Amino acid sequence: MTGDVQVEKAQVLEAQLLEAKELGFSYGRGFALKDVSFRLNGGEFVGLIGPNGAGKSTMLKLLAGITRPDRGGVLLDGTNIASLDQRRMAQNIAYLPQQRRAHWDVSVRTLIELGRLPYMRRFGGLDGRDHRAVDCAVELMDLGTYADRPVSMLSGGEQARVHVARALAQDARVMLADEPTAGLDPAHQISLMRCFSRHAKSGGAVLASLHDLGLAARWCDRLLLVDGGRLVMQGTPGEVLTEKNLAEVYNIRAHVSTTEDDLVISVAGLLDDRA
Amino acid sequence: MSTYNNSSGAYAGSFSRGLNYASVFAGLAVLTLLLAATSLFVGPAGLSLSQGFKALTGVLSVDDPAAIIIWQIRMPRMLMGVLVGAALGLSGAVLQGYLRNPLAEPGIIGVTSGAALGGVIAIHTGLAATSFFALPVLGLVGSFLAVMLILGLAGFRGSPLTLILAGVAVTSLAGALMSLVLSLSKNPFALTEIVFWLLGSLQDRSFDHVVLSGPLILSGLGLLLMTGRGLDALTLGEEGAENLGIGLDRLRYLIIAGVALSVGAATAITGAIGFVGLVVPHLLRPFVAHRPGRLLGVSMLGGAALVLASDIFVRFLQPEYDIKLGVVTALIGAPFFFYLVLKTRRELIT
Repeated sequence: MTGDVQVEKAQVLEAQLLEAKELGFSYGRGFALKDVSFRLNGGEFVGLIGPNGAGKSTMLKLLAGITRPDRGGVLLDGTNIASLDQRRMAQNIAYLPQQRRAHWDVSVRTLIELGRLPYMRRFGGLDGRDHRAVDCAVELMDLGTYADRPVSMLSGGEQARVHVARALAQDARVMLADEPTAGLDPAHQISLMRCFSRHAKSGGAVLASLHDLGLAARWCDRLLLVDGGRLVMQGTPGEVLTEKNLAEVYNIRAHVSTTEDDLVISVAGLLDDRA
Repeated sequence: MSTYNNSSGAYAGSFSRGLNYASVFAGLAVLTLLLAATSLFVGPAGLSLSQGFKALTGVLSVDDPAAIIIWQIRMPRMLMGVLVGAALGLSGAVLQGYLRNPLAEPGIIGVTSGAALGGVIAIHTGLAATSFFALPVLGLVGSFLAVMLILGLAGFRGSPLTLILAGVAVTSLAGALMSLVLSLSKNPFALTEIVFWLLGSLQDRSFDHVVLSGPLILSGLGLLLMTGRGLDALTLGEEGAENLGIGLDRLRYLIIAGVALSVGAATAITGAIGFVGLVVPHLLRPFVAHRPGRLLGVSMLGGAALVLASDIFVRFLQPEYDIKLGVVTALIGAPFFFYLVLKTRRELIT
């Protein structure tokens, strides 16, 4: 599964779903996101990488329309999302926040069913299509045995999967996920990555912030590297994950080597440790 | 009321998810109806059952004392109880859902104390004695001003937290002004009247009160019942709800307007009846599997049932003891608070 093959596939589909145009945003004093532009095409699974505080979460919130940009805009199929109604947005863009909390102790299935709210009529319940989408999400996240339990009875990792399932049930073409693998065991990290990858192959687009560079290298078609509120670089994992970039952005000493179908990154230590 | 819709039942405490929503709702509806009927037959006048039935079915003439008691005294009192209870129960459920806090209650956004201040001023100035409408109208004006102040402070956009802070600020201001009025009051009778009115009661409420407050309370209830979806979505927090297409600003308007209309009008008529809006949603939450949207309808019924039951209890004690309705609900509510504290402590330990 080399990155190049994936990129070619994406170019074949060539459907540009989401575009960030010269996005700028600042939280009062201090942190600011400056001049971020990129495209997210149908068929792509894109990883968003960068150190803590680089602006990854802010970028995802801007793309999801949760935070409004100070400058620039976000286009969905060429239309600025500021002019779209919220329901249309919700049907097209699913957003998985970093804070994954259930404020009330509802059942796992009830929580996942919330993902269908954008499709429900004002006074209707869930229809057959909604139930199928929920069943599918339950299946994908391996939650079948927990479906009727209250969420509080699940472990942290299991709860994280419930929230991913909620976002999957939303059945949106664009999936924006903020550290979706945090708290998951290795097996469920892989099954989540596989699930995102399938979503992309079926014509959707995924943008997920990731801290595990190995996962990013292995599963993503393209990586966006952000640092200090700027998009430093974008390209295939092979182009982005170089020893030089890792040293400059993450301040780490890493060895990057390529095997037949994988990029192997081993982190040797911090840059300052050399002495 | 005992059908378990949870087929697996594999975990302990399945009671908490077990009851079917329709049966809970139907059970509460029947309970409310029974209590409403009972409240027509209970009172210090000591009418017999047959007299009551005759009066209700129109066998007795309109001037018959029994007919007057049933139609002019007990009927409006019962209707007022249903309206007030529904307003308090539903507002409590909505505010708990919106603020995602099981300790929220209708008084939290300051509407109750605004209405109470209006009522207190009406009694103090003697307006209440000159015109029947003075007290409820000034109560409504008070709650309206409180809402304007809250909106000014918390803004039309903003987080639930700013709403709580604005509510606390308005409540303290209204409380201070009420204390001021009380200390300025030279007439001991007015003082007693103020204190009793503040305790909350359904006594001597007439059809005029029902006609005055009914449309306002009902429209408030209507607005609040529209918030179910939004409250469900808020289970995921504000960002989560927004991503599900929920307009948080619209939800906020609906809630502020709904609580102001229903609780403002209710308090203007009956005084501040405490604890109903806190206790009812909390008690019923396990029966609807903790779903905030489903809690709305049942809390409305539960609030009506609790106020009717408390008022029936009050009337059982009459005429020997004249205990105010608000005192009864507080006596039910306060131990409930103890229970909440203990439960929270246990949960923190384990």
